[in-house]
Amino acid sequence: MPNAKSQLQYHLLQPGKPIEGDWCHFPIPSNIEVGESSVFDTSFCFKQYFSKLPLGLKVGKNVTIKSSVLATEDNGYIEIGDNTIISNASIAAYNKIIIGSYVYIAGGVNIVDTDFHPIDPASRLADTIALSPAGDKSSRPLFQSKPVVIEDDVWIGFNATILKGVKIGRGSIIQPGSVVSKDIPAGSVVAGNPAQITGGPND
Amino acid sequence: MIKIFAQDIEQDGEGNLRVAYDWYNGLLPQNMIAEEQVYFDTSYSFTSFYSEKAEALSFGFASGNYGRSNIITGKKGTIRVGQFTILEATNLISNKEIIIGDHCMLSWGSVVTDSWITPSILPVAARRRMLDAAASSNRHIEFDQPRPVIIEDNVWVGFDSVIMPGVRLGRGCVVGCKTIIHEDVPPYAIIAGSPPRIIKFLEPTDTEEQKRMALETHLKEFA
Repeated sequence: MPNAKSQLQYHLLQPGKPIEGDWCHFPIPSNIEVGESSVFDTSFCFKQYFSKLPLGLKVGKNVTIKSSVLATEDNGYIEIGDNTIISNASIAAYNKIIIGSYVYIAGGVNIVDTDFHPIDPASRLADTIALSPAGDKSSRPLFQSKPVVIEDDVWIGFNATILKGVKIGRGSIIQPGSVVSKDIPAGSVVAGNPAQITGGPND
Repeated sequence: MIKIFAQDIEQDGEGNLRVAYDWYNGLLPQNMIAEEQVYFDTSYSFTSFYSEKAEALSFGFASGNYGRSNIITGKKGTIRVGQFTILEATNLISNKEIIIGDHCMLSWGSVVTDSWITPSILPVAARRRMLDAAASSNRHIEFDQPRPVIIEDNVWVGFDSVIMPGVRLGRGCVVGCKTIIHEDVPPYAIIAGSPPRIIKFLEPTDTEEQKRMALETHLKEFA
């Protein structure tokens, strides 16, 4: 008979505390603050967590983080409200990503607060050299980053993408596959690439 | 002359090329030309590399394949990757020719293909013949009328985008994420959306002088 205890998928997220029997072994960061009953399933979540801030991640209570990636650069900060579920999504913060309470983020979603590379052709060319095996990565040119804010009660569908600088208003629904590049007012339903408002939740 | 790659490459008595410490027990293609400082990542990227051409694949100086790219060729496929170009979990499918210039960035999940459906294979019977042929050989679908794809220098392709057969992406252009490109994109355009539209044009700042300065500034040996 399989031991029911060994089938437990979720583990309490606690600063600096590894999961026993985890399939991978990335350190659980200490510069995080977590409310009660918030859980995650594997340290793979922190594979690319490099935040050097005194507080790089703040998680509310009753949050579920399942097979997702919370990536931060040196100055990156991620905040997640209460009762939010993040399932198989990637959240990458160079600067700041704020996610509210009662938010649902579905599989394949990318939320990023940066373009990862410069847009200007000359800087972009320089970036390919700096990033190459022959390059000096510490010399990378600067590139843009703008905070992302996802307010309470927002649902984000499968494979949707939320780009830098976007604020999604309270209660909105982002349909699967959308690419959101501009602010979305509260109570909207949006779809498409680029995402367009197709209705409100009460329509 | 022994080339210095960004990873150790081992060659056995039969000329087989292996990436040292590869997680996948496979080989790199022998009909490949790689300049120095190239990063191959894993032989898993080349499991469907069936080209019989003499120089089917080339990697320019300090170009790299990162993560689980699929570099797929038919019998007559050729793929050229320029200097400093970054393939990040990219899918390249060639039955004829894909040319990628210098300083390009292809993001995760992007696809560049010189082969897809042409009028001759609209009939179901024709498509069944292709799948039958694949099933009785190497399981690779050989397309009849591939059209070369050319990606000029300093092009950036966003994640999950698809570059379709016959397309030329102009120098310095940027293709946004999840964008399907069927037609040529002019130099320095930013194109995104579904259907794709040109959002704006960038200043052509990537001059030879700028490139020379960048090489002086960002290479390790000068750092």
